[in-house]
Amino acid sequence: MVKITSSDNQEFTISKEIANQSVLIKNMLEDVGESDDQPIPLPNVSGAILQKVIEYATMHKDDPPPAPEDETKLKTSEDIEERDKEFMQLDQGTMFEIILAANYLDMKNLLDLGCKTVANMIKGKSVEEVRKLFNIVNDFTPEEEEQIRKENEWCEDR
Amino acid sequence: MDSLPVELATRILCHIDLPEVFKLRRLSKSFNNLLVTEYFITQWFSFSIKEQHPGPVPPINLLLWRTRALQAHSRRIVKVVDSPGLRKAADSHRRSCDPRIAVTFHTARRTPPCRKRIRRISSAQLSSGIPQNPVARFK
Repeated sequence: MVKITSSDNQEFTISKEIANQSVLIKNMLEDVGESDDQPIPLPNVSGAILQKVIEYATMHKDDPPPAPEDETKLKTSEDIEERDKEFMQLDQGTMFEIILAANYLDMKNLLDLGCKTVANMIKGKSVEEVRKLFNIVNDFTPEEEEQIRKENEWCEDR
Repeated sequence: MDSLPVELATRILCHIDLPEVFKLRRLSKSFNNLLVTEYFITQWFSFSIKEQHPGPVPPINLLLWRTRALQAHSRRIVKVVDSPGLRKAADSHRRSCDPRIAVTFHTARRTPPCRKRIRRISSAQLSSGIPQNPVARFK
């Protein structure tokens, strides 16, 4: 078993196969050796988020390791498993924290899942809808926005 | 979302078609600044262009647009993402469409012949409605 601690000092004990889904933790375990009983500190991840990450890793513990980036393989955001869709039904703040945590912990599958989920939220929406969805403030002057509209004529009518 | 690091925002947007991504320039200044960077465009292409547009014409048109955008952005000829997928698309396009369009997979600095080729590409782009220098304004 492996002990890990979050930024808010919550300690979690997880199996090695779950821990190894994070390349960061896997490398740390290799560095410190098997016998070290000290918990691995993860100062960039809060306990609540780490809990969710562990939930994801447990759900996928029997999956084969992620394949390396294949440039010839179809890139799509439509291929999300149903259980992953359910897992990502979170508030936006948590979702973005999970993406950041997956990036920090080097968990490619979880990072991809987060990115695809957000991409799917954006697809097919108007700029105004996306602004509203992510609470983004339009800080352009009307003139600046009009200028971009003109430059975007090639894509706006698609 | 605009609080995410650039590389993560880019990773998200790479799952979306480029025309739809470029509409997002109007979201905010920070988005606009991200979307017109060489970094973003390069990453977008390396992640997604090859397979999201499997037909020969769209990828090559976007590739040509990208070449122009990068050229305008950096004011020099820059290396075009080179990959078997893009080469295949380029070859296919050359065979099926306009043989005068020469897509060069080069590594810059060979300015005289490359510039000449890029000019020919831009005239072809004019007739096919590809945008002109969308990046240059934000230099």
